[in-house]
Amino acid sequence: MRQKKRLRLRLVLYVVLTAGLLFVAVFGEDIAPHDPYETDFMAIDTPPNREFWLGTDNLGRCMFSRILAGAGSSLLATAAIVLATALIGTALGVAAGYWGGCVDAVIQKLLLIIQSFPGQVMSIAVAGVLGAGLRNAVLALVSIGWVTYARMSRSAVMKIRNANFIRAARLCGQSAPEIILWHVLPNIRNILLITMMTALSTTMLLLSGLSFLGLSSKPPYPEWGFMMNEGRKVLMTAPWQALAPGLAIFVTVVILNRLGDSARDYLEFMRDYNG
Amino acid sequence: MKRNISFVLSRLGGLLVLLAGVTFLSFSLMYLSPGDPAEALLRAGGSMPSQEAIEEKREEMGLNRPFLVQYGSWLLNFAKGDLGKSMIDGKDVTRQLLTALKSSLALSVLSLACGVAVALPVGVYAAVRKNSMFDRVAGFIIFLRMSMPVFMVGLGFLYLFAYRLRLVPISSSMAGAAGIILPVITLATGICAKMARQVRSMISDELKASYVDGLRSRGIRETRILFAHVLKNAMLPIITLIALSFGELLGGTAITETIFSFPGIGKLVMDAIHLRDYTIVQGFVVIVAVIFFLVYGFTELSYGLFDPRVRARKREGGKG
Repeated sequence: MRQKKRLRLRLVLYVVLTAGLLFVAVFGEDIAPHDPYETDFMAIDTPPNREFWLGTDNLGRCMFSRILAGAGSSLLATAAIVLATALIGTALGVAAGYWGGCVDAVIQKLLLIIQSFPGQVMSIAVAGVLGAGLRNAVLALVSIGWVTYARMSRSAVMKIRNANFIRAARLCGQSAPEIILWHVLPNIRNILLITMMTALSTTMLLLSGLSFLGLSSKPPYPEWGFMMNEGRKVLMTAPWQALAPGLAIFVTVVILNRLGDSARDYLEFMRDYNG
Repeated sequence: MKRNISFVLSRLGGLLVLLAGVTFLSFSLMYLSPGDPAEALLRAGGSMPSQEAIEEKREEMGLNRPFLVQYGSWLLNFAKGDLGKSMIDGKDVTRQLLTALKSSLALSVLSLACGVAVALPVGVYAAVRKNSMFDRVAGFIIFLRMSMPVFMVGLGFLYLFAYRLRLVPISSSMAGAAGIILPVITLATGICAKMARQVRSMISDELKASYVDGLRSRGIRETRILFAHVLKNAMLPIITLIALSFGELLGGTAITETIFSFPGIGKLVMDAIHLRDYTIVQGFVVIVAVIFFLVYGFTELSYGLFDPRVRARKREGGKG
């Protein structure tokens, strides 16, 4: 019981912190102390001080304001990718697991083919060929990210497809979509949720990587990964320009990572506790 | 015997279908590009090409043929070791890719070796002494590293060792052998963190197996249980993990190579993307995929070598 309380408290803590991130993502530009786009040639490359908490960049723009303004595109794109991959992947995985046979064979081959491209090969190639832009970067990550959900939901559905409650539903004359919606999905809901929570942090890292390579959004819109790439050019003279967006990514990923872990621990504990 | 042959044949057939899919996907990538390759090629010269010139070039490049015919001839050339010519300067793509690949392979192998050399003992020890001080500290460091983007780690090392301490040169391409040190450390820390975590969970699962209790109850020493039994049983998944990590490394060097200006395949492909030289991008995708395919295939084949259980299953008629 005490452990349950502890796990729940931890989960609540990280949910609150994530809500804070979301707040910054939505209202970032409004709470920024300076205009993130305003260039100030008197304040070029200023080190962090009381007015500019994280210094300024090579056009005299306030780094802190730019980081707040950049949170939106980074976080919302991450959420969009996770949602889209989960939807597509689960749909295909459930179809493969539930119907099996020919459907399964085709989807299984597709999975194997996409898995043959290791690391970031596919995302870099797709984003690169489509051309730089946040939308294309999202597309690139969605086009490979669904594989995880498909694999997972496929094996989860295969375990229960011949269970008695599914057979009973079938005998009662429920159609396949009804069975999937009312009996299959609730059974794989938890594992799906855990995978999505854990995917948030890895997706964020992948997206910032593409952005760092210049494959995501274009200037002047602030994007953490790309800001870091710009800061790289003046690493010698103005290291805070690379450090500030780096820290922003790091802090966000730490929070998302811990959110995923605490959600997993809590849900797993509840399952063992109730089951 | 007959069953054995049919098993091998069906396995080979599956692999061929997979290989066809992989090459097909790599080839189709080119057609995602918004522009017309023939036009892009002519425009690279700087002038506005006429419609006739574009049409002529299309004919010359074979772009007017049906898609599948184009794929077939590309695949045939690929099998002969020819990945086409650069869309920018008309140079042979294969040679450029292979030269860059050599550097990237060296980088990947070195990083993997360093990463595994640290990750294996750390992971195993953390699993054996679970919840000890060592386990907690290692787990914390692993968590920190896994929450950092690779470019942050790379830039951090660059700032610290190249700018502040001046221990190594800033750009890898001008540095000769010493230039590989920082990229290797950057990649190795990432692979090491990931692997140590997985090794720890594998070994701690294995330690819960009932045969370990059995061995303990017979009074076998802990070190002997670990080295002679647990590690031996965990070998297979660990080898798979290493093979997968190798692919991950080879396909994930672009960021690190860009930071350190390391003349590898990732930097080549990033430069090609900025110039819209899609033949190189296509070649990169297919080469890395085929290498990964071969490495992973050989790893699977080697299972029989390490694990008598796999051998026995194969002899029984190849289920599994």
